[in-house]
Parts: sequence; structure tokens; C-alpha cells
Amino acid sequence: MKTPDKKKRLFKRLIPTLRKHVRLAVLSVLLMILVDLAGVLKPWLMKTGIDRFVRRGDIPGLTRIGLILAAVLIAGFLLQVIFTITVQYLGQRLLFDLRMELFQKLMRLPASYFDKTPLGKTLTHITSDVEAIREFISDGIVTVTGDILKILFIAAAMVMLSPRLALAAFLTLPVFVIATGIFRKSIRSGFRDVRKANSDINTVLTETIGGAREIQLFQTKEERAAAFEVCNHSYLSAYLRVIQAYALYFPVLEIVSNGGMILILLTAHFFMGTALEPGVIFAFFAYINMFFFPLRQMAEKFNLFQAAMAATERVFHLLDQPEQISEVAVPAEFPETGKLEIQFQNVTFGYDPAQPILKNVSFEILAGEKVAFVGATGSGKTTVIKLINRLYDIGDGKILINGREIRELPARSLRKRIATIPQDPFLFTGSIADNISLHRPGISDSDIRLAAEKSRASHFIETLPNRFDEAILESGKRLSAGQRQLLAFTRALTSEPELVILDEATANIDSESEHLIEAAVEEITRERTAIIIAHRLSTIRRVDRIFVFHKGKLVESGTHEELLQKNGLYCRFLPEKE
Amino acid sequence: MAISVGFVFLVLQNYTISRIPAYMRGMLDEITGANRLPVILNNIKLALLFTALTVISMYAMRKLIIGVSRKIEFQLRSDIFAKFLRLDAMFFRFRETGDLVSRSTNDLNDVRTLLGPGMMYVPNSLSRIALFLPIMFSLSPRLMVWVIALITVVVVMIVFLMPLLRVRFRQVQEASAAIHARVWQDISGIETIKLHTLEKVETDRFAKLNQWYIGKQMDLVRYRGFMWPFFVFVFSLAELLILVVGGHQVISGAMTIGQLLQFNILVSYLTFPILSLGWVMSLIQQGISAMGRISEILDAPEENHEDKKDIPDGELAVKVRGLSFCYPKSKEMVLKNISMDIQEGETVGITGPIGCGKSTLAELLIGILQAKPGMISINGMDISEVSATRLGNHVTLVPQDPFLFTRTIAENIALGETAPEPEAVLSAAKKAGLEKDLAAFPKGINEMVGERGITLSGGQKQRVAIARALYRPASLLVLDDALSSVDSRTEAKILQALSGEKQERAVVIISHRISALKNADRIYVLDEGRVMESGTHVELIGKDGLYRKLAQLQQMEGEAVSEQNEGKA
Ligand SMILES: Nc1ncnc2c1ncn2[C@@H]1O[C@H](COP(=O)(O)OP(=O)(O)O)[C@@H](O)[C@H]1O
Ligand SMILES: Nc1ncnc2c1ncn2[C@@H]1O[C@H](COP(=O)(O)OP(=O)(O)O)[C@@H](O)[C@H]1O
Ligand SMILES: [Mg+2]
Ligand SMILES: [Mg+2]
Repeated sequence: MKTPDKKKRLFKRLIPTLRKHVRLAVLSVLLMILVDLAGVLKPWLMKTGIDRFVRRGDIPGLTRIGLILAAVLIAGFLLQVIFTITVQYLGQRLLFDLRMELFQKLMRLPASYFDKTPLGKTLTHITSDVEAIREFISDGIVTVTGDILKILFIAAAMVMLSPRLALAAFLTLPVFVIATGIFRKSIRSGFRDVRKANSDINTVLTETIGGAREIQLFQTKEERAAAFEVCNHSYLSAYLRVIQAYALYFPVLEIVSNGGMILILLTAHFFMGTALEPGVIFAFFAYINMFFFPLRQMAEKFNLFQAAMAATERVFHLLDQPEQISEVAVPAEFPETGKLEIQFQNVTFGYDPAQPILKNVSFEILAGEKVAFVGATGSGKTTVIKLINRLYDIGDGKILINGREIRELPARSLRKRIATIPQDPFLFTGSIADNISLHRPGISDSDIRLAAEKSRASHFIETLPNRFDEAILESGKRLSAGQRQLLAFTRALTSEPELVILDEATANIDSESEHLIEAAVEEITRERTAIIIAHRLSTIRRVDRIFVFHKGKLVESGTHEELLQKNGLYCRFLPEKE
Repeated sequence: MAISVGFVFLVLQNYTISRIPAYMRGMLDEITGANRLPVILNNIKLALLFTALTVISMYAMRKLIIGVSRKIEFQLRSDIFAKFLRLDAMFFRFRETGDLVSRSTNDLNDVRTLLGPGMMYVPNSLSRIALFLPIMFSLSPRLMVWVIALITVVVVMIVFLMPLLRVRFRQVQEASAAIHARVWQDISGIETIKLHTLEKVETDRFAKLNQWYIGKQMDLVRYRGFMWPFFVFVFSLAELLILVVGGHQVISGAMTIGQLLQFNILVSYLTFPILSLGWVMSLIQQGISAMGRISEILDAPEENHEDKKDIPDGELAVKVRGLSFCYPKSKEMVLKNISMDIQEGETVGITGPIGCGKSTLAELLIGILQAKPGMISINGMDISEVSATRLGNHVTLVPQDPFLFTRTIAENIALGETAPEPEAVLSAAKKAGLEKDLAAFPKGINEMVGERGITLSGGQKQRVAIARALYRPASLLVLDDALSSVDSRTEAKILQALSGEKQERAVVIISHRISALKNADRIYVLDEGRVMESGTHVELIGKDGLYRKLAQLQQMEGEAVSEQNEGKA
């Protein structure tokens, strides 16, 4: 149940967005009033024409009133055009603002939000939910304000023409109000189920398309089909209920308006008789039509309003999400050094705080030092990398970057100094060149080409029909996995980082290619602090120190030789010897 | 069936509506004339009777016609989904997920609107006009001619002007789809955006995209904002005609004032149906182009299951002969004239530089990509003659980038089974080296996997996929670089588990690591889509080829370690 209180609160939150366009909004409402006035004037002119001129046989008078009516019609038309365009423009501006606000919020949300929230859901907020809010404001608030004014104008005109007949016309109102109340209630639950079924349908669809290969390979078609059948069915049955409600409601409106006309004529019979000016009946019938039309429209828009309410709630829920990790009010200036120094002090962290993944990890990486992380999969190596990039905040302990606590540093300027080449790189839809430059300003075509030369990615890029302009389809599904890694590597080569992190960046690359890009690795890590995660000894051996992780703990560290001497866990991780 | 009954009610509704104004006229003429109560009551009685009939037929019409449109939508959606399940994986390789989802949701909705309101309003408007004209003619032929002229003008304008909207509509839809796609991309790649601090760049790009979208929208709004009021305006000239022309007729005594009222009510009943034609026109246009986009899915060629055969039982023997392959829409041959044999109980290794076609070969072997007839056969049966589902019983693949569903690990392993045996699942997980990881999860094997596996580490993802493949009784198992994110210790364990399975099946291991390949019965070395050399590890090491080069590069590490160990000993 939505309490009016909640509605008010949601509405209040929309106000700042509206306020930015207060002039457009006021203009829209003014135009709307003029359009309404022109509308209300028409029946009045009709009445005057019939009673004053037609009944008296005054033909020149009839022509005169005809001309006035024509002028009002034309004015109404022009005003309507201006109004429509204005109000739609207002809606689009609002949409723009809301969408940008959401997008910026999205850019600030912490990684943990995306771990928990299905992609489709966030996508809906930025695409259809904001559309629903735009409709709510431009079609909703503005139109409804206009409609309410219009109803008031009509009521006033009716009372002025004949208070008795007006009273008779209003007699049907309670029926309308009650019917509308019942209708609203029944479509509310119906549409709620529709939306729920709809989002289920989307989820199943998305997964089925994304996992098409797996579904074919493992023959899970029957099961998928069954799951889909269920939500498709509930969608249908929810809609059939909504249709039932509409099918009942529209006939009731017919009763109300016909009943109104009959009541008016009956009142005329009893109270006016032959003294009745028939023009008044013309005007009243027109007013009844006009009176119920906006009411009917509002009823039709309940669905829209209700959807908009729900959408507003979801959008604000997203805007209320706690932001990136506890940023201190005034982040410290980032100490300039050229090389980063990292210190972990008793760091404990879990994606779910109840389930620590890293336990009491302490280490120090000196400026300019190169270290390797070694350990079984799932031991927490990538997690450490994410913490260094401050994608998550730690539970216990401290992370110091160049001696400053990581929380005190602005996350973005920290990340700017780090080049991370992740385990499973993400490629954007766009050209190869865009995927290397990532649209960052200041990266020229020649920079891109040079980086690709160094990473040896140019080798395969040159074989593509459009070379650097070759389009990459959804997450690069037309490239081989190794090619994707090469591109990610190339990306990193276009920047001037102070810390380089290679997270199994060459896992899908063959030894020969790896050997060839070694020079590039060498170059990018030269004179810089570097962390390398790899399972291959050739890579590991070149570093200054090796950290061995096991089940979220740092168990050993030292140079290759030292660790071999220890004959501990490290030796068990080495590639098998003949 | 229901729909034709619906149309009967539609006509009935319009008939009853056409009758009611006559009783209003009766009343008005009586009031201004003799003003007798019984006559008035009689008119009221009839008006109420026809109102009741209107109400009933209106209810039945909506319920039947709109209800049917929802049922058709339901059916169409089922058909699309069933089609998705029948299409082979290749279809999806060249299409964006977002686009396909939007076709099966938004476009479907447009088609539904065409079938429901679209199908209801057109006959509604036409039958109403047809039923009203004789009555209007009997009231005043002159006024009727004028009103018909107006209706014709409005309808002609609607028919000719509305198509102008189509182009603009399409542009808005395209812009909207672009926004959709961009947001999808940015959320999927959010980590990349954060790591490269692209927040500002992306926000600026998004703002530009939105600006473009607004431009397209306003283009549409300007046309629509003019056209719609214009139609309304033209039709509202009828009021002017009723006042002036009708007024003249009343003055000249050709019409009573009550008849003018009746005429006026009839025209007001026509307003909405006529003007709604404009709206319906755009629904029809949208619906038709949406149906076109849906048909692209429904008409996509699919394999014919009817005359497909099954693979004969017996000892597994895979023969690849002169296999060449080229991706559709691409000129470059990815694989060129490849021949190889795989026998039951064998382990076959495949290696080669990135982009040489290993994954392509793997997908051809298991039928996700289709080889031409005569190129690949299993147990003597050409796999192009075997249906994908049947083939799936015999071969399986651990892809390089496995897709995990948002379900528990157990369900991801026993994909498609509603009630899998827990022991079997667990044993597959064990063989894939997942045991220790499962112990660390709060819910063990029943731990939920985040969307597309985001809550698992790279190696864990790969091993869930391996367990998934091992869970199946397929006789050919292809591992496409499936151990790349796994440390060497775990790798060794999994390989050992696999060699225990060897008796019942053949295993193809695609890898860059010599350690994963060296125990294979035969190793094929690919380069630029060709088999450069093949043989056992020992044989290949003996040749002066690519394999030896790779081995040497990796050997250096191994030897280095051995030396160190010896030194230490
Ligand atoms: N986003 C996440 N949410 C929850 N758990 C996660 C997430 N990412 C990784 N994990 C878990 O954290 C553990 C360590 O993962 P990770 O650091 O990726 O290991 P690796 O050493 O292989 O890089 C694994 O058990 C994994 O399941
Ligand atoms: N769907 C596709 N369409 C066009 N080209 C593709 C597609 N998938 C892969 N390729 C190209 O085919 C070649 C071989 O790729 P692949 O078999 O994945 O190589 P790998 O040996 O690294 O597994 C690569 O050059 C790649 O760009
Ligand atoms: Mg990792
Ligand atoms: Mg591959």
C-alpha cells in the first residue's frame, strides 16, 4: 500500500529537478490554461448562437457568432501546438537531467553494488524508469494540473449557465467516483503482477541469449522452456485481469455520461419546460463530454502514474545507495613521488563482511620494487589487487599508499597512477582503436599504433579487414581470448602509471607471443613498482620478491632462491619438474 | 472464434450508440413543445434500454478482442523463445544480446498493440461511420454532406501525413536503443571504467548521446505536436458547420432544434473514433515494422531435426579430414585443410599461437560451429547429419570463457537437470579440483553464483565449467584452454583425474602449457589455421619446429628450477 505520505515524499524529491526548469513549467501551465479557456468558450458560443440568433432567425447575427467561433477554434489550435511542443520539451529536459544524474551516480557507486545487483535491473533504472518519470511529469503533473483547472472551468461555466441543470449533471459524479475507486484498486494489483512477470521474462531471456552456447551444449532446453512458460503464463493471466478491469470500467463511463444527459433533460422538463432555452442543452451536453474526457484520461493514466511512482521509488533508491567507500570530506593531496609504495597492515577483508576472504594480511612493497603473487586460484590474489585499487574498502587493518592511509586519498587520482591489466579484460562495443584509447583525451592514433606495436597486438590487428577500425562486437566475442588479453595489455601501454599490476595477464597467451611481449612488460615495469600475478615461472623469476598466498593468508615471502631453500608451500606451486 | 464474436459485439455496440441520440432529440422537442411527462418517460426508458445494450456489448467487445490480442502475444512470445532454443549458437555469435532482448520485448509489445487496439479501433471507426451516416442523412442531407467532406479531409490527411512520422519514429527508436546499449556496456565494463578512471570521459560521452537523443525526440515532437492538433482542429470545424449551416436550416424550418441536437450528439460520438485513426495508423506502422524485426528471428534458418541421425554406438573414433573453415561475413580462412584422428582412450593435445584457430577447431568438433559435410565424422557418421542435441550426448566442451548462470554451483554443474544426484555432482566437482574451494563457501556446493560468475575467481569459474563437462557422460571431452587460470598444482591434479577417466572417453586438451600437453598421446601444433606438425611430445621435441621452440621457452623455467633444486640438494 502506498501511503499518501510516501507519495508526498517522492514528489518532494522530484522538486529540485523540476525547479531547474521552473520557467518552462510555468509557461506550460499558462499555455494549458489558455487552451482550456478556448475549449470552454466553444460550447458557450454555440449556446449563444442558438438562443440569441437561431431561435430569433437573426441570420447576420448567426454569421457574426460563426466568425467568432472560427477565431476561437484557430486560436485554440495554435495554442495547442505551442503547448504540446513546450511541454514535451520540458519533459525531455527533465529526462536528460535525471538520466545524467543517474549515470553520474552509477559512475560513483562502489564495486560492491554491482556485485549484488543484476545488470538488467540497473539498466532498467537508467532507461525505462526515467522515461516513466518523464511521462509522469510532462503527461502527468502538467496535464493533470491542466485537467483539474479545466474541470473547474467547466463546472463554473455550467453553474453560470444554469445552476439547476448543473446540479443535475453533478448527480452522476458519485457513481463515477466509486467506480473509479474500484477500478483503480483492481488494476493496481494487476499491473504490479504484470511488472513482476515482465522482469522475470527479461531475466530468463537475457540469460538464455547470453548462455546460448551452454544451453545447446548441455541440452537444458526443456528446463529453460519450462521456466519461461511459467513467467509467460503469469504475464498473460495478470494482463487478462487488467483487461477485465478496463472492460468493466469503460461501460460504466458510458452509463455515467448518458445518465447525466438524461438527468439534465429531466430537470429541464420539471423546472423549465417550454421556457427552456435549447442552446443551454447543447452547451451542457458538450460540457458533460468535456467534463468526463479528462477524468477518463486520468483513469487511463493510472497505470502510467502507478508505474511512474514505482519507477520514482526505484530511481531514488538507486540515488540513495551509499557511495564509493567512505571518502573523507577533504581528501589529502596525493603525494607526488613517481613511484608508489604500498603497505598492508593486518588487512582483513571479505566481500561479505561475515566471510573474510583475506585474513590478517601484512606486507610492504617498496617504491620501484617488483613483486610476484603466487598461490592457488581462489587464494585471494585478485582480491588484493582490487583493494589496492580501492574498489572495496577493507574491514580491519590499514592500507598505506606512500605512507598515507588509502581512505584519505581520492580514489580516482589513486587509480590514475595504477595500470591494472585484469584477468578477464572487458572490451567495449566499438572499434579496436577506441578500445585501446578508451576515448581518453590526449591519446592520439600514433600513440595507439605504437602501443599496439609494443604489445604485438598489431600483429593480429593488421590481419583484420578494417585494422584498427574493426568493430568489436559485444565483449569481443569475435576475438580469441588471447587477442583480448593483448588488447588489454595494449591499453595499459598507453598510460604512464606509477604502479603496474599484471593479473594473470598472459594466461591465455602462448609462450612464443609471451616471449615476444616480454620486452613490453620489461619496459612498462622498468623504474616502476610492479605486481605480477602469474603461474609461470619464467615470469615469476624475474621479480625482486615473491609473495605466496594461501587461503587468504600471506604465508611466505622472499626471493625465488630464499623460498626454494625454505622448501615450503612455494615449491609445491612450481611447475612440475620432469 | 472469440474474435469474430468480439466483432459482432463491436457492431452491436455501434448500432446501439447510434440509436440513443434520437431519444434525446425526442425529449428536447417535447420539452420545448408540449412538455408532456409520459412522452419524456417513454424516451428515457428507450434511452436507458439502449444504454444497457451498449454497456453489455462494449464489455464483451473489449474483453474478447483485447483478450485475444494478449493471447496472441503470449503465443508469439512462446514461439520466439522456442525459436531461440532451436537456433544454433552461431546465430547468437553475430548478434548483441540487448538487441535480441529488445526485439522479443519492445517489438513484441508493438505487435500486440497492433493486434489489440489496432484491430479494435479500425473496424470500430468504420462501422460507426457506416451506421451513423444514414441517420445523419435523414436529419439533414446538407449538413451530412458537409460533415462527410470534413471526415474525408481528415482521413486523407491522416493517411498521407502520418507516414511522415515513421522516419522520425525510427530515428527516435534508434537513439533510444543506442542509449540502452551504451548503459549496458558501461555497467558491464564498470570495473574497467573505474580502473582507467574513465568516469568523466564516459559521462561526457553519455551526455552527448543524450543530447542527440533529445534532438531526435524534438524532431518527432515538432511534427506530432503540429499534426495532431491540426487534425483535431479540422474536425472541430464540424461544430462551426452545425452552428452556421444547421442554424440556417433551423431558421428555414428544414430541421427542428431537437434534430440539430441529435445531429450534434452524433458528430461528437464520431470525434474520437475518427481522430483515433491517426493514432491507430501509427500503431499499425510501428506494429508492422516491429513484426519485421521479429520475423528476422522467427525466420532465421535453423537445423532440421526431422531427418537428422544419431551417432552409432561403439568405440569412439573421430575423424577430421581436410577441414577448412571461414566465419560468415569474413574472407579469411581461419582453418585450412586440417586432418586429425581421435580414438577412444586417447588424450590429444592441441597447441599454437593465439588466434591460430584452436577455439574454432574445438567448436567445430563439438558442433557449435558447423563444418561442411565430409569434414568431421564420429564413429563413421558425418556430424553435419547429426542434430545438435544428439551430438551433445557424445561430445562436450569446456569453453575458454564459460558462461555461468545465476544459480547455485550445484545447479551450474548439473545444468538442465531438475533433481540431480548430489553424489554425482560432488564427484564431478571433486574431479575438477573444486573440493577445497567449496569448503570455503558458506553454503558449499549450494552457494549462489553471482551474475555471470562475478563472485568467483577466474580459476574457480573455469573449474565449475570443467565439473559441468565431467558430469556428463559424453565420450569426447574438449578442454579449450580450460586450465589457463589454474595454478600448476591444481592443473596437475585435474589432469590426473582426467587420465583416470580416459578409458571411457577421449580427451582433447587445448593449451599453451607444455606441462598440460606432454602426456598426450598425440599433439597437433597449429599455426595460422594449419597443422604444422603432430606427434608425441618426445617426437615433436626432436623436430626443429614450433613445438620445440615453445617447449624450450618453457623448458628454461623448468630447467632453472631443476638446477636450483639440484644446487640446493
Ligand atoms: N565479487 C565477489 N563477491 C564475492 N566473493 C568473491 C568476489 N570475487 C571473488 N570472490 C571470492 O573471493 C575468493 C578469492 O578470489 P580471488 O581473489 O579472485 O582469487 P585469486 O587468488 O584466484 O585471484 C574466492 O573464493 C572467490 O570466490
Ligand atoms: N565469430 C567470429 N567471427 C569472425 N572471426 C572470428 C570469430 N571468432 C574468432 N574469429 C577469428 O578467428 C581466428 C581464430 O580464433 P580462435 O579460434 O579463437 O583462436 P585461438 O587459437 O586463439 O583459440 C582469430 O583471428 C579470430 O579473430
Ligand atoms: Mg585471480
Ligand atoms: Mg582460443
